[in-house]
Amino acid sequence: MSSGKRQRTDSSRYDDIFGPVAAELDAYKEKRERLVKASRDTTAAAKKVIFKLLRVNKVVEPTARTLDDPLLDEAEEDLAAVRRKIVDDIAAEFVADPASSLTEEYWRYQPQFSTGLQEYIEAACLYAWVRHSVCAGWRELQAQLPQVPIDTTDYLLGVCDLTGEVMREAVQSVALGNVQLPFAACRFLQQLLVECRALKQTAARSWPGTVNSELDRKLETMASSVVKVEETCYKLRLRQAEYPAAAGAIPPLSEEEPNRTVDD
Amino acid sequence: MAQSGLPEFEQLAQQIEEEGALRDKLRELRDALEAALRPVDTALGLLHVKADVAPLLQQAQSLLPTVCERLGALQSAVPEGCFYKYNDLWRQSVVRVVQQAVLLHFLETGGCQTLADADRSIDTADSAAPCGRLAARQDVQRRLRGSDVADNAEIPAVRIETDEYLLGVCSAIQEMSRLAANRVVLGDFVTPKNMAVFANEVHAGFRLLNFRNDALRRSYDGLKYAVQRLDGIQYDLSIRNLR
Repeated sequence: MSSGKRQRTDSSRYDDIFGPVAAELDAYKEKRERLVKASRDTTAAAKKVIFKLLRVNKVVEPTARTLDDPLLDEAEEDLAAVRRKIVDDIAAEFVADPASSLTEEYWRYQPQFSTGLQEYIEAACLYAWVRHSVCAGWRELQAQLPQVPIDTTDYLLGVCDLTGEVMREAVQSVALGNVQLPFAACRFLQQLLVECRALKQTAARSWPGTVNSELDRKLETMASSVVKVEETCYKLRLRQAEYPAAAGAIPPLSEEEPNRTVDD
Repeated sequence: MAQSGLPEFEQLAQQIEEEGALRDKLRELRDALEAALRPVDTALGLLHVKADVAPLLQQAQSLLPTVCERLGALQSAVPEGCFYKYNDLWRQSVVRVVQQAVLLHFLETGGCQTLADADRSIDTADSAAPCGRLAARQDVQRRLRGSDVADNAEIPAVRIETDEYLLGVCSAIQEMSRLAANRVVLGDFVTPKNMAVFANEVHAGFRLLNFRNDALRRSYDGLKYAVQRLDGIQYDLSIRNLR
């Protein structure tokens, strides 16, 4: 092995291949970190809005939806601030100049900030429910935030989370003496559950497996939240039957819409 | 689908349906790509049992343009700007393509020759180079297009992401660590030696990278055992003075 003697490992042999790769991996990691942080900040800001919205309904009168509560206007402004934050901290990572549309890199990093977007969606939907007793639609939210594509996954997962907040609001309101809200909340949640479960079948072939297992998990939590509210309504109704005088504020049966049944 | 009580969900359901239809279509194209990969695996798999390498390499290389065509068809079916939204569908397939091309490139650039043979067959310009070289990403793309097509031909290059390329390289070295022992069984003592040199050099390259805790990191962590195995085979050969 005299002339054919191999040189021992030469660490610089493939520098031309690994050098650029190293730079690329580092850049990816840094951008990823920035977006993870932006996502956490968005989550924190949206959470504050949610808590603010949960404080809105604390009046003890029987008719207690105080739509002129100044907290509602504050919450609306806060939501606009969260949107600005999403545009400045997240969308800005994917544009060369503000006029141009987002680069395809948006979807590469999307998993890194989707929790932040979901929390914002949850807050925006909760706001719509507290103020208008409806859920904010996907198109509607997209129209409010035209710079950032809202993925269907983030919308649906955000709506699933909304259920927990509505449940908390409904249960809390009983303690505060509002015995009408649970019934309204119950119908709303039952509808949401039907919708989300119906979409689950479609989503199975439309989304990656990781997202689908998250959806399964959230749907389970969602169902248990709905059951809690149903249980509350059940007890209220029982009490009304037992002591009509003690539960005068509960909506009489005739005023209720025919109850939707959660089938399948 | 249930009668919609909430109109907001109609549009959402429609959008999710559309995404599902697209994903189904991409899945079909991905399956066609996988079907094209199978015969390449078969040809390269015969390296474990057949001593004569050249016809196998030729056959594997001749199958790559079909792979390229199907990967191209798959990638161009993705709507503009949504590459990363759907590329989880074919990531594994591309890793496999890279693995095949890297192995092929190594063997065809002299991986199964002695240095003396290599000096004769390859231009002397790079005669200090070891036998068998690592295919850069462009080399992989060039191999996929096929040797009879010029580089600047009107075939769009298929996209190979950095992590897919690196995972494919790791996977090729894993394959080599198994192949090396089987080549020894077949009486081929040259290829395993070249593989050991190759694996050490590539491993040195990987050490330049800062990994995150992800699939790539795990592949890299596995690499050292493959390198160790190849070193072990080389040791076994050299103490017996086999070449």
